[in-house]
Amino acid sequence: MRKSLLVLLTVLVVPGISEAKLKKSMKKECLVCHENWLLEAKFKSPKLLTKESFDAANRLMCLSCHDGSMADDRLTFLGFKHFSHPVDKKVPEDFKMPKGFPLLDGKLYCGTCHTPHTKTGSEKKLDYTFMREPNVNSALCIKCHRENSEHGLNHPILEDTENKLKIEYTEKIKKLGGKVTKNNEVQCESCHSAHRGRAKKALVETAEKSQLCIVCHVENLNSKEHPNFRNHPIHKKFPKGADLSLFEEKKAITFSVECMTCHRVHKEENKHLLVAEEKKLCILCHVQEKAVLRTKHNVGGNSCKTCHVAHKAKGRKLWSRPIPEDAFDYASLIDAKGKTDILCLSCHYTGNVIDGKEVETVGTLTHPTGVKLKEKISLKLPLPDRKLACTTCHDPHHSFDNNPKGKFLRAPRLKLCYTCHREEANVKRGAHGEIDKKKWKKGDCAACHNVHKAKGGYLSRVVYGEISPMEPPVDGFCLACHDPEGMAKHKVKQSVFNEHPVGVDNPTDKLPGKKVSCATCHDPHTHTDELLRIPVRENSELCLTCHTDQNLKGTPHDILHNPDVKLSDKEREKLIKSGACSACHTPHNPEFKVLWNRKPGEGKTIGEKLCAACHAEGKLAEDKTVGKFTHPMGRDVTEKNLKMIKDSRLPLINQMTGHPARKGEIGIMDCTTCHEPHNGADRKRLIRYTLEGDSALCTACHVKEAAVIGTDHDMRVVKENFKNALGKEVLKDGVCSSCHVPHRAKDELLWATEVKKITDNRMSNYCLTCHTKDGVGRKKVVKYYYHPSKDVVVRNFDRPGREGNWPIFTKDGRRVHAGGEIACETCHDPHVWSKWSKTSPGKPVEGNALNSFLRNKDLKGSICVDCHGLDALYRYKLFHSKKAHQEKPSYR
Amino acid sequence: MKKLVIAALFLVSAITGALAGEIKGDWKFPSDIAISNGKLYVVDGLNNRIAVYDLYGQHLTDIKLDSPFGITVKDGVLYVTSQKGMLYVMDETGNVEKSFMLRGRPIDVVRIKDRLLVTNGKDETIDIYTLDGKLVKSVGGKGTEPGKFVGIFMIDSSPKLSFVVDSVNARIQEFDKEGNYVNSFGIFGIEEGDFFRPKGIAYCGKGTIAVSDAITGAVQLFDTYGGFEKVVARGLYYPTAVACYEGEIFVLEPLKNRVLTFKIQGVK
Repeated sequence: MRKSLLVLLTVLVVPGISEAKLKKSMKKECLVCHENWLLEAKFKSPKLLTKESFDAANRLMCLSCHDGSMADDRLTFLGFKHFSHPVDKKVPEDFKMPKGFPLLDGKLYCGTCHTPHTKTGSEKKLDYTFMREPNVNSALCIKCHRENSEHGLNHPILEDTENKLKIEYTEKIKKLGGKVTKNNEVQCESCHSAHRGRAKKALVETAEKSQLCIVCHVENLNSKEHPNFRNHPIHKKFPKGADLSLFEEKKAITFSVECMTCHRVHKEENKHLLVAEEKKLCILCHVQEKAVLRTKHNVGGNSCKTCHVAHKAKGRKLWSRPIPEDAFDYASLIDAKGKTDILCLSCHYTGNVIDGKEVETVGTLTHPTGVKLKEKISLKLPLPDRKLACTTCHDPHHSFDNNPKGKFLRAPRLKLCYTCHREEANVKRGAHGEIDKKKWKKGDCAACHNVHKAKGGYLSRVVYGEISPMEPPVDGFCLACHDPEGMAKHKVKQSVFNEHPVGVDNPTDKLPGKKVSCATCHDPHTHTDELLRIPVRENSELCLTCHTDQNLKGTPHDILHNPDVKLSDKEREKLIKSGACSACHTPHNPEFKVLWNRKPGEGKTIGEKLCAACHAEGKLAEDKTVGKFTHPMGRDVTEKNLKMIKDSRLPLINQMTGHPARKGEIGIMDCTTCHEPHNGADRKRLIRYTLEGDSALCTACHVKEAAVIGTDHDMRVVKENFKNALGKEVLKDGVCSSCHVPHRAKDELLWATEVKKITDNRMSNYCLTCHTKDGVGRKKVVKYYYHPSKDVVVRNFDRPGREGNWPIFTKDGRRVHAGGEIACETCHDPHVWSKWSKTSPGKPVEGNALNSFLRNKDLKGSICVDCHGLDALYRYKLFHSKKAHQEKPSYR
Repeated sequence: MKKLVIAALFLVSAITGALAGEIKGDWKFPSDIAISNGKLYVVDGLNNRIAVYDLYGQHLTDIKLDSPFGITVKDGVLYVTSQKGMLYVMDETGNVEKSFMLRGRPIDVVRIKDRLLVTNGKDETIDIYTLDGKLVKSVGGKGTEPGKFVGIFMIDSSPKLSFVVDSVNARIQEFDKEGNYVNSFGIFGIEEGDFFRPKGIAYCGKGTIAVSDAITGAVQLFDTYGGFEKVVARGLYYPTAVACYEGEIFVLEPLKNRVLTFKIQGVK
């Protein structure tokens, strides 16, 4: 192409000729372009093909070589009157045309810039564009457009862009038809194309949607296609209320926010080629944020720049400030998880000093951020990612009331709190709504809480001295006031006994907290009785939420509904108000252990003391006492028997706590070993196992004695409708009840019946009370039972050859090894029909030597043999017959 | 009076020698036209297509192609040059049967027997290829002497000869199918029978050639020896490509996006 033009030039152009020296010539090489000269000469010819005059710079004349024949510049031609450098346009009077750039009738025309009679070409290097002067490094453009190229006032070009243009940008520029200099610098033709422009101002690409700027300034871009939060977004609508007058005045782009909205490429004095001073520019659109200028966030008078930058920001929200490590550490310390919190903390971290003053922080205990709201809120507050952040409550640009010294709150403080903490707003109606009326408004959260710089858990404004780390922090919060020296001194902990435990696992999900704390039962923000989360009135629902197995309903201990309990109206009213449990317990200020709500009664064990609070003379349950003879408890129970209880799975009671002893704890037999005062297996008797039938409760420990079941001593076998002397029915009250009762017994062996004095020995009297003519065992009357004891010393020591079990008893029934008497129980065990049979007969049967409640099946090694020798067998076998006895004992 | 009007009309008709019709299209500076089997092919290269019309101006279809520039039709086969240096051989519906690379900047093409002659704007040559795209030879080059070119442009052919527009030299040059120079004609000027900036050329049969001139706006007829016959049309706006079909001359006015048709009267 260049070569062809070179040939054309050598044909057409006289070397060394300058336009000034041109003269009209009729040479063909001149007329090839100067058709008008030819027309002038032939004007009168009748055979003229045309009378239209074309001068050399006529566009059609140019086109006649650039239509694809010499060169294909059809696009250039089509660009005329569209997006090319203007032609046929009058040059404004104030525009100074440089010398050597002619106008045609005062208008720009092709010949203004182009001429074939140019010095710019040479045989070696042809300027095939026929420019009047070489346009190397936009020199020709700058001749006219000097003001658009001056350093500092215009988009940088040439040396200002040295080594700044990436190769990929150069490629993009070239693809659009733009050019760069040899040194890969930006020049006028990088953005403008005199004849192949695609947009206004002969731009190679339109800038209306920032397309042209994006070619190079990709790193400064933030659009839908190229999201980058570090840059100001473009292609955005202007915010409501934006003042566009300045933009319009500066002919900036105003149909959407684009690069050329804020920036001008040429003749702009402001830094960064901004259409206005930085201080004034942002607030033209960000009208609401303008108020920041009057606040302390306008640090050093730097306006928006204090925190924001339009491009290459250091963080979200176009953050301009560096975020120091200390700020990250602080964010970690306070667990700030809001999306933009770190921006606030980039200043508000511990130890940061700005303008000689330490910047305020939020302390170490502060309102949480990064938390997702469970419900929609009525107030329109920003929730980045639907989570709380500093900016949810704070607008860093101004307070809701535009108070320059305000706390940058988005709404009045209380309104803000209540927006999310809707339920807590009930505090206004409750006891906690009127704390220190002189200082705080009704229901003011700040009376108890500090949103920032809190002193304890739950953002408490106050804390109670040193509390155990085991206790939840809320308790310290409560106790700060509920203390003899606190403002709630009328409701304080005073008892020496433990209150309802805190810090233990919360067994229910119906009440808040993993551990039990004051706030588990109490909602400090409510207005209910005692600020309880669940009411206790009547049935103690709150207590039963956790203590699910301790419902008194239907038991005699539900004293509100127990007709046997006579309550005064006052007592009843009080009990209804405080709930069924309050009959015995109170969570606060108890009278005794186990949160006891009554004055404890007399007793050796904790159970006795607790039970005796009612089950004692003159008390509520005076008709339900244990009597003189009752089941042994406490220390009266031997180690051997304790073992029986342990094996029974009935609890031994820890006397320190009053609760069943846990593994490793020392416990003793107490009332609540057998009784479950809240219900139990037998809700009427409040016992842990039942009595009815086989007396499960008794036989749980007295396993050996359980052998009585199914024998003749099981009254269900011999007389189904048997009632003991106290009226206990064997079918209802259990097998043991025929002979024994645990409380109010007739003697120490818990005998239910008055024991007849038939012999001197008590142990024999137990048996003979029944086995007499008018006794229950009248069918089995024992007529001959006496063994002499006077002057006879019976010993039951272990000796070589001793076999069998032959207990001897003192007169009052104690088992001894020497000096005792032979009684019925020496040979008989009233609970065991036959040691040698695995089953009980289950019906009345006649006995023999292998049953009959006998302890031993022969006399080998017995105490009988000790005295009687060989005669012992005879005497033993015939012991209950006349043959072995004299009519009157000679020993008496 | 009536006679006077009829006489005037006759006079105008005699002067122009033709009756103009018009086919318009939405093109972007089309470069060439061709007609075959009642279809007009307009090479709309800047839109990367060849627009196809019937001779009543009804748009039929578009043949998509990358930057086509010149076109010729021979026996129902389209030969199209591309500014990207390609030659496409395709059927009338646009199915490409063959394509191959050309040298230089190909402008226009004709087929004479088993040869394809391509005007090459870069080297100002006629490049002669076999039908398989093998370059046989190049003739011409830059210059003003016979057989050389300055501004080589459109080409057309009779069964034996090719006629090449030598635009800036303001002449038509004739070559045989092997590229041997035969003749050239044309006088630089703006009067009848002259050329100022010839652009389009079409062999209309029976030894007649139609040549358009972009600057004078005329379309003139010549015989194959260069003898001026008549002016077919004048006053056109930058006419370029021309084509002859069944006694009509089709002239492209690319800047007006139209093809004018003229009925030739008294064509030999």
